[in-house]
Amino acid sequence: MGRILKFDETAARLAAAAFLASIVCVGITAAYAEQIKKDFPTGTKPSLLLRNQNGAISVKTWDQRRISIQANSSSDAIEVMIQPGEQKVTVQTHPKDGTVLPADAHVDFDIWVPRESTVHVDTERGQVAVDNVTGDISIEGVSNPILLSNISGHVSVRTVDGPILIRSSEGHIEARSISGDLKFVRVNATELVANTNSGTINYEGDFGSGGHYILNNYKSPINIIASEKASFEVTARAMEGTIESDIPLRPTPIGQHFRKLSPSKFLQGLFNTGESTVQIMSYSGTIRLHGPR
Amino acid sequence: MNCDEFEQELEQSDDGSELPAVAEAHRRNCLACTELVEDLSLIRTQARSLRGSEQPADWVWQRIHQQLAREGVIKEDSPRRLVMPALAFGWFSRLIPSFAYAAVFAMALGVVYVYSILAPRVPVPAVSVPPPPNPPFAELFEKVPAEKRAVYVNNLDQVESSIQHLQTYMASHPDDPFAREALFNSYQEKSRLWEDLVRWEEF
Repeated sequence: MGRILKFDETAARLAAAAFLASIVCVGITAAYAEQIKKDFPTGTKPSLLLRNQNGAISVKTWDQRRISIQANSSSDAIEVMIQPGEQKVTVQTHPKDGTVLPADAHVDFDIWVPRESTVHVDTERGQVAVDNVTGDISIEGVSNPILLSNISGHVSVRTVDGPILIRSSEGHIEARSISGDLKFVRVNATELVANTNSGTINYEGDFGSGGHYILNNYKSPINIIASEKASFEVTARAMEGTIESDIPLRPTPIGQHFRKLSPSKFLQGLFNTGESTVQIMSYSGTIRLHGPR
Repeated sequence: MNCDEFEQELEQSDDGSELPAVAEAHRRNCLACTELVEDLSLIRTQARSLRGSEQPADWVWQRIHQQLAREGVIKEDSPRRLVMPALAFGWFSRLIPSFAYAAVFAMALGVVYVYSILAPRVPVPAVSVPPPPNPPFAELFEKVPAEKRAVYVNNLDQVESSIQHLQTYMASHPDDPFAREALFNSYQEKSRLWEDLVRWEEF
């Protein structure tokens, strides 16, 4: 009996070793367990490419030259493919051959990357949160809530109906959605382009960096809360909607022939010294500009 | 500003390069007036190049005159009178570029006149807006699962609605550059929806 047990243990160890060896040799990991933890050495500025149909994704940074990936799958019918590399790590999920996944099947990711990494995420559902990345970020979602904070690179985010929130960030930022809400808190961009068809746009902050801010939607409100130290030249246009402002604006030196329109339809002026340029446009939404409280 | 007012502003400006802001805004939105300015600019440039062209010296005209006289094409006059035709030819040669310049100027006036008669005033094709993208969404919708399809259908309906409203608005406000920008934004949104559908078909 004891011999049999010993044989079984040895066989199990050999099988496990063979399995691990096959993973290393191929270089691509196919994991079917519910939880996967992987850690790869990288350079200082690696790229992370993640494609996940459904599930929460969190990307955080550290001061190490490694990418750490933890994936929690709700179903073993989902295959998680990870292709490591010093400069690029690719992660992709997809159903196993011929499998029709239930609608709630998902894989959640917790990922740590070097601070200067480039991050590209393709996803359909589930929150995406990226924090403290200084490299470029590209996120293409559908119904995902997107949360970016402490970002300073070139950012491009788009969704179909998922809301986008960007906090405490700098750099060149593009946020586009069809019906998702867009919110920006303490964003000081060299260029900020925010465009949504029917979503609400909220901006709270300084309009800093002497940047160029473009906030457009077709309908729904656009709410601006400018801080006391904000300095910008604003041009706002509401075609069928209205403009409401309690910001004390000074006339701009260069006129605009739309000035003959009512201030509820066209508004132009300077706040403080007008270092940044702010362009706001809505077809039928209400544009509200509020000064320091 | 309409096209007549624009032409008046154009006539008052020296060379058409410094138009008032209102006229400049109209020009940007009006295809007919843009072409008018471009044509006048081209004519001015051609005329300036003629004015500076080199003229043959007087002795060239004298040689031609003598050659024609030797061949009996014209009669050789007395030496006293020979000076006069030579001078006359020199004067005539200087007239040629002037005539050319005048001809070009007259042609320019003609172009303006023809434009004033033939240019379609009502309705003026004030803004050249390309047609909206119309990819075959229905084919892709069929491949998308029902719960996902609803998201795309709802959002496409919203975008289509915004395009229709903005097109109507632009028809009655052709001089509003903001409306044009909003319309292009909606076009882009429609294209992006198509791209997303194609992309997600791969999932």
